[in-house]
Amino acid sequence: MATPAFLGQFEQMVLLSLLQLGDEAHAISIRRHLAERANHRITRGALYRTLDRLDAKGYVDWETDEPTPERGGYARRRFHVTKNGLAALRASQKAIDQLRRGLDAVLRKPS
Amino acid sequence: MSRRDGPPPVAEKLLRRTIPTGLRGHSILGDLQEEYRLVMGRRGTGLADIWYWFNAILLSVQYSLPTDGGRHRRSHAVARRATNRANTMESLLHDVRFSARNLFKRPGFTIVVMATFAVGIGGTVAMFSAINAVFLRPLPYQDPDQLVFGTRRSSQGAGGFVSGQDYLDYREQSDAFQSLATIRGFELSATVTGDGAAERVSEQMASTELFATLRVAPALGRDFVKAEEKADADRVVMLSYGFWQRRFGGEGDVIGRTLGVDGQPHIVVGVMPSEFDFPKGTEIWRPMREDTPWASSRGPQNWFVVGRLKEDATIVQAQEQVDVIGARLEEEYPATNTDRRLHLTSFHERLVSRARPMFLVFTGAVGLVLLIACANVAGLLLARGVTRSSELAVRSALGASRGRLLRQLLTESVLLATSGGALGLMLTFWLLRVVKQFAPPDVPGIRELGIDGTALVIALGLSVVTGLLVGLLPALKSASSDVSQNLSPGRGASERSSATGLRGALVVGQVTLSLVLLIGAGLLMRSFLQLQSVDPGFDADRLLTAEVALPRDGYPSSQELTQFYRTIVSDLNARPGVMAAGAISRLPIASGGGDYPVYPEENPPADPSERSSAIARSITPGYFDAMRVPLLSGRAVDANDTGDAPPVVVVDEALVRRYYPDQNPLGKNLVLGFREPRSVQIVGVVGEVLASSLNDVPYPTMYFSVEQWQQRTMTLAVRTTAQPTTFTNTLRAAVRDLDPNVPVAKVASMRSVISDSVSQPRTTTLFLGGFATVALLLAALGLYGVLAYFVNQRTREIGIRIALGAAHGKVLGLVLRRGLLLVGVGVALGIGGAVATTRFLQSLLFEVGTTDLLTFAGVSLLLTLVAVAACAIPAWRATRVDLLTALRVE
Repeated sequence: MATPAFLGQFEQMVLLSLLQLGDEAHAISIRRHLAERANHRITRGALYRTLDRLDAKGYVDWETDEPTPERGGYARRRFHVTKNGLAALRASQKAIDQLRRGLDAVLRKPS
Repeated sequence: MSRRDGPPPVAEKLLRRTIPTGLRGHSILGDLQEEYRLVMGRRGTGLADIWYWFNAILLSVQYSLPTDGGRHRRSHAVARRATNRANTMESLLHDVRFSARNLFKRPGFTIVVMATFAVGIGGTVAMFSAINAVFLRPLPYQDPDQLVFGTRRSSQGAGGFVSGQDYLDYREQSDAFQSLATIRGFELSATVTGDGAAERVSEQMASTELFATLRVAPALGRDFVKAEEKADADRVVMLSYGFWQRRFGGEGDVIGRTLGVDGQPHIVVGVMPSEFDFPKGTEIWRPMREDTPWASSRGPQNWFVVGRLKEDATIVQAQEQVDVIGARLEEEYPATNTDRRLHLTSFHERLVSRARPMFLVFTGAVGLVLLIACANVAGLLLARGVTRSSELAVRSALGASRGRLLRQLLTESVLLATSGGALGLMLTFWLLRVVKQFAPPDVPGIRELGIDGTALVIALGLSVVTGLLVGLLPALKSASSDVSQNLSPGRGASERSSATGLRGALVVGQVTLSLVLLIGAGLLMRSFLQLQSVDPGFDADRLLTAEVALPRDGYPSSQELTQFYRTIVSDLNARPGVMAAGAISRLPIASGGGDYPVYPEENPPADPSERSSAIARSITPGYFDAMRVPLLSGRAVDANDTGDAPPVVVVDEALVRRYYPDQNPLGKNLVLGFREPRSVQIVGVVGEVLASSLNDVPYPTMYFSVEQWQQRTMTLAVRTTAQPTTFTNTLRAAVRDLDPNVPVAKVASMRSVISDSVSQPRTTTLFLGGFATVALLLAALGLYGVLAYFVNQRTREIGIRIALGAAHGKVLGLVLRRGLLLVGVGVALGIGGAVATTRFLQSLLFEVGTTDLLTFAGVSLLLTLVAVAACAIPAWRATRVDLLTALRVE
């Protein structure tokens, strides 16, 4: 594919959260981050499936931590954005930016 | 109870089946477990388990829905569109709108299904709320897990009272507790005087550390201090919030005032907060003093123990420690402490254990009703699936995929379930009001019963899950039917036989489950009737009772007491409308206990451990007449049995059986007590009376003249010519005229005293009966549906048969046979199921076996009759089929 496909809004939000959280980006913190920063509450299932989809497209990658007893011996996945993911995010954001051009007056209007 | 450390294993197993395998899935399980622990820390294990279940189910559903453009290879454009969340939402909304339209088109079907769901879901949520309020909600005390309850354990079991002296030793010698308190095992009433009229209040006595052990501080004033246990300390009293409001109008300067309690001055030291209510209904608490007769020696056992474990101590460790102390006490005091130990249970367990069998039965019943409701709806949906098979075939021919149809059908059933669930919540609201009204009032948490957030979540979850479960099978069946077959005209009944078979199986299941419920309800009802028909040993009709207590200041000695009882009884007897009047120290049925060591004079026990006891009651002359307790031989207590006369006793048949089998007891002597034995002569024998409850067995009883065995509190029994309650004011006036300082309490007809004593079995019977009726109706509805459908399907065949001369009886038989076959199989299975499950009712039954033949047969017959009625309507309709309409059907 020459140009990366444009990302859905929610996919962009997840990728941005991953970048913000850095080394601390795992499912629980991402969900919390989205709720606190973007006031966007989503179900666990929606987040997992979006992460899976981004993973399948090659936009995110993950590694596991050491399993701990309070997680019942299950390892935690830490996610990060891949090069392709960053490119797709840039392209999507750029498209939005270009569409926004000249609309600052409208969009920033204090309500 | 061993505590599980992680989330509910079954929920985890469910989740593991649906989420991806390998590290991806593991990380999801780990995330959920991590959050589970957070919830557990904040809300407790019960709510955390529910939280986990909810999320496990939600995640499972989310992972089992078809992936958007995942598996199916579609064109690029379609795939991209499908990944768009907004579009998914839109098509879901479309499905919902379409379903709603569809359902509105068939209001009859929709209402029946919704109502069925409402009954199932509403009942389940109500029961869940009740269980949540009573069993899962923590006690209103700080760190309730540390609280333990102590009773006496002997080789006969645990649960008895503990001796006050033993308690003091346990308190002294154990170090597993932060504090160890004691409370008298039974409530008494005390007369409060000073600052207003004399009144009877519910009084409790506890060691000074009770409130500190529960970690509840007085709202006003101070807690008891240890020095107030001493015999030379000032007498003090703690007031309940309600009593303080009622008697003092909430005045702040009540602290330090002096109140008379049973004639002795007591200084008010504090007022407990309004939410503190332990033991239930207590209005004043007094410290256990060294000189209280309840705790003065090691023999009498009147106390329960309430302890708070040290932070690092477990109940098992504490039990081991008190066992060692108990063994030491046994060695030291073999005469009293042989086979006597302190038994610890968790405080919560102690408070809820009484309500447990009732709640277990209700939960089982509600579960069965929910299952029946689901089976019913599944049956209805199956039938509907068949009738709309051509609609589905057309849509599928126009290009709707199987998944798309499936989703549409599931949306419909979930929509039905959720709207039914919403309706069910109204039912819940109403049911909870009923529960609140009928449940025993001292069950903790029952007053706070209501629909909360958790209940709403459960209702929603239940709706979605039952909607999916119930809809899945019919939807799969409908969506998979063959297009060409369903569109071709003149299709016969045979190709739908698998759906019909499935419906038949569902009806059998409903009949089975409702028979189990009905038999359970039938057994309880039989048991209740049995209980009602028990002869208490007296005539309870037209009998008014009321308790009077003579304060110490007006009645310091036996002369005044005697005078009062003589006057009040003769005064009542003289009033118009009174047939007979008398008084007794403890009213039968209402109040058991009060037994006293005794042995026949000519046959003293060799070993004091073989001592036996009999119930001791003081009565006035006329008591037996008023109660209509039959005098079998000798004479009753009469006016000549005064304090100066030789002591006499009237005994009952049970006592004669025990001590004087085949002998004439009249003139023989009984010896009372051991330390200062005194002997009394038997002058009469009366019939047996049940002392503490209807499901009691008669216990040997002795009746003394109140003039020879003084009592400050007596219950008047007045036999009236008219309705006893119309006599209430006259009775109050009679006491007031005699002495306005004597409080009259617990005025009630003997019938209502008896009725109150069986309120719990009545509630259980009523509830289970209600559930069983609903189950029966649902099953009948299901049966009716299947047969009506059967007749519908065969209209043409039946019409032709009738046209060709088949007798009505034959047609009727054809339909009835089919219905009765289903019922027969269901009844057979139901009886098997009932035999296997009714033993759980054992503890609730009175003189009825768990496999009572009469109940089993009667209930099976009842169900069969209802089933025949349900079959009869479609069968009758079948006979009315005429050929013309029959041929027009296609």
